[in-house]
Amino acid sequence: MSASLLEIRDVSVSFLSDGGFVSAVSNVTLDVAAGEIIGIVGESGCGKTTLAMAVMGLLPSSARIEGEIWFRGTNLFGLSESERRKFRGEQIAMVFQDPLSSLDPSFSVGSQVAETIRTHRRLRRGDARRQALGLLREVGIPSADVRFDDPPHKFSGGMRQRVVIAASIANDPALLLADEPTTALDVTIQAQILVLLRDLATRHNTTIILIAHDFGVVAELCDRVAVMYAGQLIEVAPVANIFEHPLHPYTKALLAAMPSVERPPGTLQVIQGQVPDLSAPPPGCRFAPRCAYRMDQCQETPISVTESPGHEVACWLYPPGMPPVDQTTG
Amino acid sequence: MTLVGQPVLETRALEKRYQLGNRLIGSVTVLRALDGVDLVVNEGESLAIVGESGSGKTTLARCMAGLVSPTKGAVAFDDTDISTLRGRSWHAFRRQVQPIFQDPFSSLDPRWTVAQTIAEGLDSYGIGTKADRAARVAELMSQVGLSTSLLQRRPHELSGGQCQRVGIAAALALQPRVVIADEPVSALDVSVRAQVLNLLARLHEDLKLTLVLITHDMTVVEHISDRVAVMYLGRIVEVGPTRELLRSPIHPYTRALVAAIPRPDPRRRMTSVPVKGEIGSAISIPSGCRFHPRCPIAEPECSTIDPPLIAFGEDRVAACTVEANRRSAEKRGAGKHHPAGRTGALGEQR
Repeated sequence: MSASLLEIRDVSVSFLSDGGFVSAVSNVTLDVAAGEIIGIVGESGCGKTTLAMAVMGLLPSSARIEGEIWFRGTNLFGLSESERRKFRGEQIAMVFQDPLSSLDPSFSVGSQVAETIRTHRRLRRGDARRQALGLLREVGIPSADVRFDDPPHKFSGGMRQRVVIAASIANDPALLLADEPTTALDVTIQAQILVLLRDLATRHNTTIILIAHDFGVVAELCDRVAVMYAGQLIEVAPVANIFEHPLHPYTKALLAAMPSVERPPGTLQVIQGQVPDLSAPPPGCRFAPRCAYRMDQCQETPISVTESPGHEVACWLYPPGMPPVDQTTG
Repeated sequence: MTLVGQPVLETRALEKRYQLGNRLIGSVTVLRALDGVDLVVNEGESLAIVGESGSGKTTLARCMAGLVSPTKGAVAFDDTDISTLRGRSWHAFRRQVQPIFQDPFSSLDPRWTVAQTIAEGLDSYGIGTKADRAARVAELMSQVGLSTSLLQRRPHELSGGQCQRVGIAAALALQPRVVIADEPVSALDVSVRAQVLNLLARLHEDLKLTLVLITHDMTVVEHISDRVAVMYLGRIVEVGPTRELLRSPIHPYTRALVAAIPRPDPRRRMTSVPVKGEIGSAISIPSGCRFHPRCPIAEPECSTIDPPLIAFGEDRVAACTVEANRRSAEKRGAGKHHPAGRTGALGEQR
């Protein structure tokens, strides 16, 4: 694996709410290698979007942030807002779930892509326009020269997401954060966007962090997968391992909850209980109250161990210093 | 697989048009949401209607539930056109065909408690005594897996999964024969979705409910449905038993839809885009076969001939003349034209 592009070191984020702090992300450490596509998976409220926003520097000022995020040797949390702004869009870009809210309804799509280019580079209008047109063509907008001056509302959801992707790659960022980029799209359009992202990543050697809740989308696009639960990172593994040898009971349960033709109706695995209240999270492993393999030790925070090359899990079923065996099989 | 009975709900050449624009300034356009839909739902089956945004699946569901009246054609319940029902017989229909909606939160009245919401139907039909109704509400709550400690809660105090269960309990209160569920799990997280899907499967099995499931999610379809109808731009383009339809889709659109399902298997990645372009607008439906502008196997005649649903074997139909011709060339007599009208109707005949 090549050198790390992004190093997330013990990052915690909490928000003030109703007089107390709610911890959205707790002590997450994760390295992202240059050129890889890594998926961050989890259900609503697990902290995956908050983590992406921390990398992007888009958290509200009320958020309490701890830890460090290193990007190419710079600690992003040590930068001023104006320095941060220079990174954003130029070196780190983001694509959001809802393309319509990322676009300004009163400007043409082409001018918005051109604007993104001119924000970071001194270019003449005509040159920026030419480059923007090239980008719209690259992301597959049909008759891009004609559609250049159309406002966002004249585009379908899938086409808008292509425009947003064009704007995000306009300055050839090293890192692209994609937060549920296909969730609002129909399945055949989702397939088109996934193939587009894969092609762009290969062509521009862009590193992608994909935030997703759908394991199918992750399997389609990612090299590695990080699973989050209640603000904590619980398992990181190469994509094949996650599907073939998931280790953490939560990862296993999530995979078994997916509807599939192989499972008879009515037999999907159900995870009992609910996600903990993050203003007063349970001590130790946060999944323990719902876990079928709960032990006394789970009251202590599990230590992340490497079970096989690149496959880390934070669960007491895999205690540190023990030979790697899968104890939950069968 | 469930034993399937007589047709219970049926659409006959169903059309629904919406006029857009302003008649005063003379700029009226017509949106053809449903453009001739023939579909039969058999008693006791679980039928999925799939399609992408703009395919007309929600309009079809609303027509079938009697919430929207069609522009042309008819919806028949027990072989009676529901537009002819009045008074008591209309209420009987509404009682027996119950809808469940996508957004579990906004489909509940925020001022009402769980108990009031579930009892609404019982109250308005004046069923039983007050005590009977309370007992029935408790029974329904346990049926959908809700604790009775939630009886006095209001929607904002419930999770998404709990709201959806309340919606399901309310739909079941009047013991309907048919439940029409429009994207019942698409707003829910994976683990909660599993609970609601298990619940729907169990109700279908235990109560012999006829389940019409409207969805865009093919993984839900393959898990829960006996039969699938695929919609594209206001028409049904293919109907068949779920497993066979997914294993060997006939219509090129169904093929693309199946190929586009993101599989949780990194070894089976998509190698190319399953289908180019996007679903057109229901305002200007393409001539001939409505899928032909995107179709990878379109022939010149596809832009002029609007294909009917053609029988492919005993229980499968698809609206593709190119496939029909290809197969009949391969095997004489395999792809005969199906008698018009009730073409989508073939259930599993066994």
